[in-house]
Amino acid sequence: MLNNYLRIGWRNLRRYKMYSSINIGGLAIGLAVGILILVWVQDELSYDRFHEKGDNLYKLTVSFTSGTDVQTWEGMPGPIAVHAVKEIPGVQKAVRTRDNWGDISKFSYNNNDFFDIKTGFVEPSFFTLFTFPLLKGDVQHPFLDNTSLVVTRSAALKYFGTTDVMGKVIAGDGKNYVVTGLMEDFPEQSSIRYEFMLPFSILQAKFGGNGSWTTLDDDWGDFFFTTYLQLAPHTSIEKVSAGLARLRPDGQQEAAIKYNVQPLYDVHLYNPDLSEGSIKIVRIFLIIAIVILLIACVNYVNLSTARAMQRAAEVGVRKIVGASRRQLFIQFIWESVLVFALALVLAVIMILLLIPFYNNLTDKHLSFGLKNLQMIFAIGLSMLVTLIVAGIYPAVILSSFNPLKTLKGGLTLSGGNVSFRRVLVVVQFLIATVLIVSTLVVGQQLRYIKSKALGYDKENIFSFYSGQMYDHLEAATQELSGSPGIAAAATANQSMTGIDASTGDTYWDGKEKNESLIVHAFSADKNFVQMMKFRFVGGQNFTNSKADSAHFIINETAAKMMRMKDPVGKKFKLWDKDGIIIGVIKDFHYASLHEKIGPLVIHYSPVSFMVYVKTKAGEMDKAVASAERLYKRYNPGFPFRYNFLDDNLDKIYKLDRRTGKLFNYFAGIAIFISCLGLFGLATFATGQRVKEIGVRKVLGASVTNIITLLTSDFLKIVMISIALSVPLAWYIMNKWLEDYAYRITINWGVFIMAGGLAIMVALLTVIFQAVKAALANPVRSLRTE
Amino acid sequence: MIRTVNLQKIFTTEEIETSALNGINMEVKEGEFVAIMGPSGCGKSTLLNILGLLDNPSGGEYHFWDHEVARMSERQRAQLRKGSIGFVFQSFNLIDELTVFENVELPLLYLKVPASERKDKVEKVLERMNIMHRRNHFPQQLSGGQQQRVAIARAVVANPKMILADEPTGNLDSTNGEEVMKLLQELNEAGTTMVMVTHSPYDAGFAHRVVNLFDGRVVTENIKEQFHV
Repeated sequence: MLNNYLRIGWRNLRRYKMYSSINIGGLAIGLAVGILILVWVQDELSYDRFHEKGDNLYKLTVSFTSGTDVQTWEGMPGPIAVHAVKEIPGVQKAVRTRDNWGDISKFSYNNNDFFDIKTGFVEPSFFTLFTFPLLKGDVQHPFLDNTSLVVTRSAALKYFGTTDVMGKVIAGDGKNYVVTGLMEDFPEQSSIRYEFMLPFSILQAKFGGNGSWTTLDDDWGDFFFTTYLQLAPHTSIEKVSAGLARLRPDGQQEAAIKYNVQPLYDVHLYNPDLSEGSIKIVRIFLIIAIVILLIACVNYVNLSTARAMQRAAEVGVRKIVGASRRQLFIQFIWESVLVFALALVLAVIMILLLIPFYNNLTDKHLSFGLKNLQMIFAIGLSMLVTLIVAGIYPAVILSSFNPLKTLKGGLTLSGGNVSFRRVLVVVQFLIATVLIVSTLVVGQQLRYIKSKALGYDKENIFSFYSGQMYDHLEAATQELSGSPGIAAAATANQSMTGIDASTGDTYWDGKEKNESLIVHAFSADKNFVQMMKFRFVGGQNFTNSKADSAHFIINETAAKMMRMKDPVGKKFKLWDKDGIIIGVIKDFHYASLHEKIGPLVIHYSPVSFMVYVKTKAGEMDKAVASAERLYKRYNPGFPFRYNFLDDNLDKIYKLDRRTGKLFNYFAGIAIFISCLGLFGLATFATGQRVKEIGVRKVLGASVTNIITLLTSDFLKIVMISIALSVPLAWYIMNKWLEDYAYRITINWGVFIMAGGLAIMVALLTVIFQAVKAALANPVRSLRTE
Repeated sequence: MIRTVNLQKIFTTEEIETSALNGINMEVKEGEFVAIMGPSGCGKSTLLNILGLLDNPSGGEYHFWDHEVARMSERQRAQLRKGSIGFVFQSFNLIDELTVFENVELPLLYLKVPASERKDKVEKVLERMNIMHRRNHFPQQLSGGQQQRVAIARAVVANPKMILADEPTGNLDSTNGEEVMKLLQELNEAGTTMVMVTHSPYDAGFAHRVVNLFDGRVVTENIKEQFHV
């Protein structure tokens, strides 16, 4: 029997080639895109899930509140981990890590120098708390002393040329390190990743003191260390968080500090302050995947039920010769299975072809193969759900036909069925229009980001780390200023696209008790302020004189938050540096537009480790060459790495741009599939009305009359979709824009444009069939009837 | 074999009620060949559909073998119909996507006859209908006469007790029509009860008895001797 079902299904597919192509093609595109998105979603959700103790592992972050401004840091002071284990019930173990912040700038092995090895300082418990198995070495004592080094398998192959690395010696800035452990590579879905791991005790040993704090484990002032805790099962996170707040030494407790205990599983998708991070994008794309599959299903249901009339006679005959409704239902379900299987084969081919492009687009290393269980799961799930959603309704409709009516040819689908089809098309175009609006809004926001005045001059400026040049920086920058291609040179200690150093160690005239102000702070010289063309609303720039060491320049937000009407000349203290405010500059964007501009202080330093160079117009190459020559003079053997401000800005919006691009593609695909369905329906509907068109033409209808008649029905449906899409799209896109502190407002133009586009696309889709029908000879159409 | 008592059928639309059958009393005995004649719209096909258990009457009784079937559900009727009634239509009603063999095989599939037995039965009936050489062709590749022979093959393959034919020669030329009628006659002679709706007095001549309908009533009944062409 199954054989018979599949055979007739196959022959039907071959006979009605256009319907089959639309049906299978639409489903295949839907399945391919749906599966690709689901695999991506699954990949995102699987981050850090491989740790055996993962359920009980947490990362600590700390939030500081200053007025309405809350800042969250991922670094923790050294003592937190030590005291948490000792004093907070439920905290079993802790591990601290810190990235290599230039502590070791160059590794050398076998006369090869390596500058960019991702290195971290980790405590030994790193290898027992987390599931990072050692292939060689002692997991309990991975480091013998402060010269020990653990390397990953890939790093061993990359830098040593072999995995037989135990005991091998590599130099780090002239000091020797001995490999005492070989670790399996970090899984692709690990939020923690290093190539080399050095003992944390190196940092403890070289701690130089901070005020009254003499060891790293006592230093509550520097929030430098990423800290993870292992909690006993069922430990209350709130209690641990409260316990952490009480750990600070007496008199140092600040109500404005809150420790966040973040499950390790959430680190990848949530922000350090526990708010939703990229989980939002995951959710959006999950919805898009479902929506695209839904559109494909709608196509299938629409075309299958529209075509049901052509199968009616067959249903009648089958019923008359003895088929039960159940048997017919099963037959049509099997036909759906056949169509889905073919669509799946096509989808798999598409996925195979698209995966390199998709990986590039999503910045992932997804692979397609039977070994990829996630992929198989995604395929199985998509296939099953879509089959259930799309297969059942047509099977119910088809199997319900009355055999007598079908054979007499008097069968018409009930009004309910036709209305249902219309509703489905409305849903389809509603989704498509929402996606068009979304694409336009995302595009507008991205353009806004690109064109927004940031409050400083970002043109023709590049920066680089001074390295060994630092000791001679004043002379070096002077030399640079006069070098070919260079208009000016300056120094500062932060990157203009992410001034992330902040401190609450501030005091000012009029500060109230219990009031705190956490400011972004960075050091710079006079030239830097000039080069960036910060606009002064009061006061003036540094003068590069000795007095500048007690001078501060603040931004307008800082002035506002300190409630200073005329800040120039007022006292201000940053850390242990007492001085006065000499200038107030207009706010500028020192981070991405996702973040609100906060209070900012520039303190004077004649030299800072980052060199900024402004090139003369059109002499970029010359300027870079000049800077490189100078850099190499002071840093022989080190590669010259520099970044243009423009490029850095581009980088911070990489994720936004990628999201935008994905939106474009997905919207395009959704619209395309919808149009496929609409085309199929239009063809069918026109076919149904051949006689009517013939009669109308005989009675004097013009070609235009006929085209209007045939297209108006579909246009009405699209108009309804557009009307319904407006509030939905407005709501969704406003939610999306909430993520940006600086954003566009959605205007009516977007909806008009999206609506116009939807109408145009729908019109183009149906008009072909309408014109064909309108131009047909009425005599022939009446005869065919 | 079948007996109707005061059989009625009323079709109701939103605005009008049309009475298609107005108290039909008739009987068909096992092995009989009965032709139903009458002008268009007199209720011939409606009667045939009810006799074939494709439709329910609005009133009266219908006894099929020993069952009173007038008020049976569609499901029950379908169950009773399966294997016991074969249908032949004017427009053949073959499934275009199935070959001759597969079309004829269809009733056996739904009766869950095993594959080897199916093959045997289909081949035998195709031989009998002289259409075996076309077994792998599709309906569109056959002439009208051949298509109707396939339809008859499909109607008889499950060895039904009764065949209902609705104007079986209506779409055929005289030669093919004659051939089809002879086939039906042969089947009847072999024991199959035959009820046929026809416009053609010539075709009716093959029947033992002719029932004439007018406005949903039986007006005359002629046995063959009185109604010879």
